[in-house]
Amino acid sequence: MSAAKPNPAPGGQIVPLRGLDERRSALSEISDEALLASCGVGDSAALGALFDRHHDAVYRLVSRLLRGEPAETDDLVQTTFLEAWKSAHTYGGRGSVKSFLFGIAANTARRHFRSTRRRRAAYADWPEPPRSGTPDEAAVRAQQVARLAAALDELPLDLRTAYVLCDLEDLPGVEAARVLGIRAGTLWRRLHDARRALRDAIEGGTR
Amino acid sequence: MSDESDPLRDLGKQLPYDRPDPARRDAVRSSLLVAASEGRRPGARSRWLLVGGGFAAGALAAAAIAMIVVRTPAPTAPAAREAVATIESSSAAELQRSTVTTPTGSDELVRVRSGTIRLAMPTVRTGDHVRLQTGDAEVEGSGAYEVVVAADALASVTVSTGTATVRLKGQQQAVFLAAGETWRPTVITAELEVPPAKPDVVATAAVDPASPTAASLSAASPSSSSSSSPSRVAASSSPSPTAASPSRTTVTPSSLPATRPRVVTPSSATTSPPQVVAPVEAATAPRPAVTAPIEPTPPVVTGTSPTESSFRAGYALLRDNKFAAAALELGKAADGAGPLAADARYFQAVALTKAGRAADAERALVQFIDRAATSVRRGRAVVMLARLLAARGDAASARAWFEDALRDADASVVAAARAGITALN
Repeated sequence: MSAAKPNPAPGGQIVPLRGLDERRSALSEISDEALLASCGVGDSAALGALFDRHHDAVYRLVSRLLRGEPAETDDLVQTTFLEAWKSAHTYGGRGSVKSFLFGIAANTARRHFRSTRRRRAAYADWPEPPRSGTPDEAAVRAQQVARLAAALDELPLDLRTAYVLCDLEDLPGVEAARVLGIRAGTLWRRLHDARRALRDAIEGGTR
Repeated sequence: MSDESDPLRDLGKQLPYDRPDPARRDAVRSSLLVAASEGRRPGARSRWLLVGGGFAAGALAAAAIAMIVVRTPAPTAPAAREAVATIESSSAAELQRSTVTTPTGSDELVRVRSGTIRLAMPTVRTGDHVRLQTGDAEVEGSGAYEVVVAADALASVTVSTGTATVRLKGQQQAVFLAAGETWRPTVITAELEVPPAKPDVVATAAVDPASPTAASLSAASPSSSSSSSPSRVAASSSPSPTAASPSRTTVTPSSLPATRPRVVTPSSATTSPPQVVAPVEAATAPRPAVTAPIEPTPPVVTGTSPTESSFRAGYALLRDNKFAAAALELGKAADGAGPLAADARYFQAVALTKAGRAADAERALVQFIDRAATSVRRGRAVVMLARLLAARGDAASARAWFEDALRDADASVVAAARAGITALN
């Protein structure tokens, strides 16, 4: 075949490879806040880096709030990051970027929950948790986890969100209240109610 | 309240959750980036968009009606517009470029069979397309990106500015890349064992044998850490020896040694099928058994120049199995001048190989081989390169490099090369 040999580009605009390596390296070292700020000015690479960094936590949060089908969870996670991309300019630096994402994820899940209202599957089909200790202890533990999962599913979404954010994701209460747009007192009340209901469910099952 | 809730918290953290597998995650990521780039730019949305949208919809409807009512005759042989993409290619690149006019604009097709191509697109007007096509894939992007093609198969796409979409034949889902991202075909390779290195460079400054630096450097053996259990390396194709060299900043073809095997030739590119993905062959082929009869000893470095400092830091990181960081530091040292810089490139390749970045390792090895044609490490670098090529299924290139290593003065290198050729057979 005849191979065309193009002329070298005068004043080429192509970034040399070394620059790319540095950029990738810089992306891995840049702070969450800077990544979000870059999202705010349309840098999609920053969005990709933010996704790489936080997708696991967002997946965990979404799937514990709404135990849906994998495709449903994927959609909610994607919506979360897309909302973060669109509203990056609203991030005021209060709280961490992870909290910011969690707030969006929680609100996205709430909207989705209200729009679907479909019955969740029974918790019996939750995968068995990892075992530890003696077989008896492990069996008891597994039962407790299964009971907790079932009780969590029965909780109203507001209480569930408070419990998942504060107890499972270790978000400070004040920050959780802020990202949910509620007062701190309201959050503590919900958290208290959630814990009590869950504890009752677990202890009730053991009696 | 917190004391009471601690057991509950511990129990809750054992709740399983839907952790996505890599394929799902990548699909969501690609879809997210596509959605983010398709007109849904961040920023405050204005209500005027609704008004503008209404007007735009009306205008579109009017235009459509006008097109239906006043149907113009088809244009007679419109002159093809000037190509909109700026292309740089390696001297060994094999490509054809054509532009046709379409009803909506122009369609520029760059057909590449081998080599490294860099495309830069200024603003592409709506309706215009610039596509890069290989035997197995098509890439379309905006901004600037670099494509490496080996044996008519897409080996890598690296986006420097803008975005690019990679469509593979036979796969419905396209891969979306943003600036700073690289795509490579994923293949599973056999374990890669790094051959040892020999002392090459000795600094002129005095050496304190008891100094931590000297001790750590002599103890640091890239191959010693390579004796781990077989690992699955997600390797990528990479620039073939001829395709990788044309970096504007490093190597020119004229500087290559005369004995350098030319593994990707135009004829082989056109007659042999794409060999980028060959997981079965790579996984089942017996791995060349390379022993390490010579304990590797790095160059003794005692100076304080930036190159020496980076080398020392990089080597220490390599010894500590911090391969990515080591590669970064050694890369800085390799950008310097002199034999130490060449050695740094070699050890950077070792670090990159350990880090599973096969394509970058290949690139570093090619640079090392080109820069240090007389280095005693050259043979080992050649064997490493051949193994990487064999691991990703490029048997022809691997064989050429193994045969090149047969001429090395080091018996262990020759033995490794023979073993490699045997494994290929």
